[in-house]
Amino acid sequence: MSGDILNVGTSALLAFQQSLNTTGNNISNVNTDGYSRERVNLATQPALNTSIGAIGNGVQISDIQRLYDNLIGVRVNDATASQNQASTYNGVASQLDSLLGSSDTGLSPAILSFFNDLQGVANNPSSTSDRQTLLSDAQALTGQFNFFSNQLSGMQSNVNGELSSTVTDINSLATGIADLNRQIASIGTTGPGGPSDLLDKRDLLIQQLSKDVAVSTVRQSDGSVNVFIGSGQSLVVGTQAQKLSVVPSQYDPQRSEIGYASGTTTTVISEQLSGGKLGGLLQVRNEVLDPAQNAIGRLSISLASDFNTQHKLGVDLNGNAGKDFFTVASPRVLDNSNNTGTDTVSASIVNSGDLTISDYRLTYTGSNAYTLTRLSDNQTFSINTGGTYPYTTNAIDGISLNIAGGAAVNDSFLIQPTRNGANDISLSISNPAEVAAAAAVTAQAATANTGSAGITPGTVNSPNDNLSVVFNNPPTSYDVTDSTTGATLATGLTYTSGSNISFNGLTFAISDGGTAPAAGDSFTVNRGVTAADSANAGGGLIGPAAVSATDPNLTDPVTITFNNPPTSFNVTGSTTGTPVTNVPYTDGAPISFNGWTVAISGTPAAGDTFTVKPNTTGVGDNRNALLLAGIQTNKSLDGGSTSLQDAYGQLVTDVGTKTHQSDLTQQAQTAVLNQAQTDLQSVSGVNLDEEAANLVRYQQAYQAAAKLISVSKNLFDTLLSTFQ
Amino acid sequence: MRISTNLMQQLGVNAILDQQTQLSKTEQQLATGLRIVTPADDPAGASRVLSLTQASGITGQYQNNITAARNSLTLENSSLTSVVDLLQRANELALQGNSGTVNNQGRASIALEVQQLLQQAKGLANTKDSNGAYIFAGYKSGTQPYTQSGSSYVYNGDSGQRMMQISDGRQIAVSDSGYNVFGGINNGNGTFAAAADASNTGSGVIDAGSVTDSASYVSGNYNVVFPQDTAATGTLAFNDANNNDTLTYTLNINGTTVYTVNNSGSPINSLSGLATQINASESTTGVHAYATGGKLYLANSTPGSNPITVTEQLSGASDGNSDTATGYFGSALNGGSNTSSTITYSPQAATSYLVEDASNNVVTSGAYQSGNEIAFNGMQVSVSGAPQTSDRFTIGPSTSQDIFTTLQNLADALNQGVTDNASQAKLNNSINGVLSSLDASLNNVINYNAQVGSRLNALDSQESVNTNLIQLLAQTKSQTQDLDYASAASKMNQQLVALQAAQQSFVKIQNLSLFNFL
Repeated sequence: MSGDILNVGTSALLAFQQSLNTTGNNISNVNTDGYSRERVNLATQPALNTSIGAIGNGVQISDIQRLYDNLIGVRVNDATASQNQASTYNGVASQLDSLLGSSDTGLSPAILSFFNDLQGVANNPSSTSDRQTLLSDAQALTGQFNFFSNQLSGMQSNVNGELSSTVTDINSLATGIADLNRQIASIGTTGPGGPSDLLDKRDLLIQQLSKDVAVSTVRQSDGSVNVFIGSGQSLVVGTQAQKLSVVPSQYDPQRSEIGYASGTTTTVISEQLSGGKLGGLLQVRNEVLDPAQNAIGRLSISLASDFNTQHKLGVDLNGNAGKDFFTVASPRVLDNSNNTGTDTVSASIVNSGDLTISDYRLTYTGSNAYTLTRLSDNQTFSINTGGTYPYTTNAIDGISLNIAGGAAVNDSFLIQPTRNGANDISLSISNPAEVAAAAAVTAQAATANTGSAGITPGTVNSPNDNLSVVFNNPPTSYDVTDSTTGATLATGLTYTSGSNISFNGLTFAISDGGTAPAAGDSFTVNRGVTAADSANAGGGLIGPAAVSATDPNLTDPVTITFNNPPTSFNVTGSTTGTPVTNVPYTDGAPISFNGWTVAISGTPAAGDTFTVKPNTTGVGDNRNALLLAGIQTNKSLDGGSTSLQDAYGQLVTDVGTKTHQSDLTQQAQTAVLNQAQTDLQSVSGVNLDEEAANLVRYQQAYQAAAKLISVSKNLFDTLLSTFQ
Repeated sequence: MRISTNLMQQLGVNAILDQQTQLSKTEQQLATGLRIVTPADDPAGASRVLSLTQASGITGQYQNNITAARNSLTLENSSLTSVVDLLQRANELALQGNSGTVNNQGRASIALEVQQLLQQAKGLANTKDSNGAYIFAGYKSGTQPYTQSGSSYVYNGDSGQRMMQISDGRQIAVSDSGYNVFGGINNGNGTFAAAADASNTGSGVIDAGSVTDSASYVSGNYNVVFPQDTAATGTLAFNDANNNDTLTYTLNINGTTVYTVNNSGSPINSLSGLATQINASESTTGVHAYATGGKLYLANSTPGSNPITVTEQLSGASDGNSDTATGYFGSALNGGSNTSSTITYSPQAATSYLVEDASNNVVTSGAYQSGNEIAFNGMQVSVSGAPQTSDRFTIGPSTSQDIFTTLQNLADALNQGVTDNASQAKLNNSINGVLSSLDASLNNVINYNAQVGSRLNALDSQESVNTNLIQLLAQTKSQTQDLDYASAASKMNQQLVALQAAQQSFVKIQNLSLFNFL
């Protein structure tokens, strides 16, 4: 009997010793990452069943339980991935946000001073110091664009670097998980809780992996866990870890993508990845950095090309025609490294006002057909070259593609019209005298005129003006109008299919396409982009326009002489434009020849003459400077709805909004993560008070069990003393 | 729910960190005074601030432009005011010189002063601004606008007018072409100019005239001619008494045969035919005939004191006094005693006038009376004084004349010596011409000066509009981006309290441990 008590006591003593031990282990790991608290579960020893009933045999340890909830663990992992994605995104976006918003580094002050200087030149066109100030601030402006470009490139290469270090981290974590899988499987899940320290370690690694990329896990029967990323790519299967790698983009060697090796081929899986740092980096690159680089690029291209176009309409202090003021970036075209054909594609900017901030992908689909995809909204444009190479497309979103031919099916090209804009802009002129502040022509009334009519000094037509060609009835001739100035450029020109039509520095051709143009058919050239009216009845086609700075006859002297009676006038001098005789006179109406426009108003007398001549010594003329200054507020972008300032504001708003949103997302995801962690901790975390109570509880139980042994000894002693 | 010790501590720390982040944000706002520190704080607001800053920067530049424009216009204004003063003085001097009370010497000294005014006017037309740019040269501000070439003045600038931007979509002219101000001024009354022929011998003085009916006004060159009245008729009568002769009539003017006809021919039978015949030899005779109003008038082609002699002759008459002819000029000729008759029209005070156009067609005619209106083709002039026959006045469309030529003409006129009525009339005619040109010049310059004045006024009003706009923009910008200090300060207080509470509760809670009681 007493032996039984001893046994019972011993079993209790051992059980409580272990309980105290486990409590101690819990207390000592209170600050260990990933530690899940353990609990000793006790059960009665199998009783001795007798006729009088079951006689208890004491206590035994049924198991040492690791308290962990897999479901909550998955929630923590998911929340970790989302939270890290948002905070990585926010970190990069807010860098750009501060850069754009700062009054020291922002573009706004540079643009403002540049245009204010132009007003200074307009106020005092012959002053070299005002011109020098303009050039210095133009230099500062291009420097600011370059600075932004460098900052953005720097951020891009930071992203590349971080992608690389994150991938290294992922690979080492994956190896760790695979290793733990092996250990866990070899030990086997012996107890109900299994090898809890290994499980804790593995769960911790998976949680750390979630910081890098979103994962999904599947538990296997042998205790190992398979880890998947992206759209189901396996990262860890059993004891095998798959390696991710950083590979250069197939289009752009400067750009890193995430590669996934399956067999011997490496596939780019960047687009499938989400969550974690990796997801955040890829997302912020696509959503913030690329568009910002394109937006700044578009801004600089639009500013520079509009400025150049207007600048070339003027003449400088020495009476020479204006040159390019800025060097404008060309669109960037990148071949896919997997292309098998020999095709080369180049792109040029036709109308900077139509440029978008998107990139484009050109894919050859066979049979002379190409598909151009605008990547921002996946809008596609079909191009059929008809088999003639090299083939130049009409302008699409302001750019024209030149396709050399030789593509294999599925060959593709990435076209980035604006990506290099801010990087490549520079100042082309260095001599202050070369600022073309004056207009190229000047109009004058003859001093011998007896009528009271006056003539405006004249403006030079821009190749950006809108032209309209309308066919007469019968459609053997057509009229050309400058719809920007409202001037008639020519009437009754004889139509010859395919022959060149040149006005305002634009040269284009209209040709029969199946059928000839019909009476009333109209064609337009809008900022250099040609189009046939959709309502045309005939089959006339208009080709792309070639642009030179001005009309070739611009500076030929022209004389306008009023007939008797002075209700019409004749025009002499080599002219672009018709008719030149008996042109009806309308008071104040625009008169356009040779690429300039003047207006005569008042009452001319018969024989009165007006001349339009090159403006050679007009050093005090500021007409072109005023027009150049107007570019600041001209709404030239997005089809005439957005000014330069608006476009910059859009960029600032866009980046600001994304930064703000990612901040909000980050906060929300942090709350979700905290909640998940709280939930997990409420299952797995160590509470010292609880452990203290357990300590007291098990200590008391241990003392009682010891007493039991003592009682047993006393009983035995009593028995022994009986026999003494 | 169980809470792990670790988590409890972490949550406490997180709460404190959170509070600190918010506090630091508020602190940054208070330090910068800005509600929007980076665009992410208020993306739309940040973009609005950019637009407002730009608008305010541009408007600030417009204010600079206004200052520059005001400098230019003030300089032009003061130059033009000087020109007005100068022309008014020239006007006074012309009136003085025109009066009969000043003698030749007096006029010569007036002419000297006019020369001074001319030099001054040239200087004013070539005014330079502080940058050394000529303000009246149009776009060619590096070229001296007026230079003298011989006796005429040449405008080297162009008609360009410089504009400056003073607000969105508003430009103001800050210069005027010198040609418009000083050069292109119509002489005469602005439509036509009347002048005396330099060879006039009478004392007739013509005024500037005026257009009375612009609808019927016919522009062209006209002469007002004071001809010799003749008694000529349009008929020639032969009487061959015995029908045995060929009678020949010869008409000589100033000794040149202008017409010969015999009785078997068909003689001219109208005054106009006769006039045409006479005029066919005008280059030799120096005499022009006009047939109008049933009369024939004769005048020297060039005014002067030469008499006109008309000689009629009859020849081929064998029957003496019986063969007769009555000449066009009324001479009763016969084959005997009177084969030749001469009428001499000596210069005399004119009694009639006629107006001929450029092709010598007579437009109007009438009896001359000093000071009466001579009206034709929608215009009228009046001649006063006593013109001699053959004197003439020319009327032609106004031509443009610069101020310098006008002043030079005045000086030249004043330097003409007056010795008799004719030279007095010549002086008066010259000065009358100058006076109307001076008047037109003065009106022109005053008109431009008034324009400059109104532009200066426009600058003032635009400047105050711009000032208001800048204030408004600054206000809007401040409302958008500036911090409300009161609310930020109270927010900061709240955050401080919250941080303190978080810290205190953290310490309190962390102190609680069951182990303390074991």
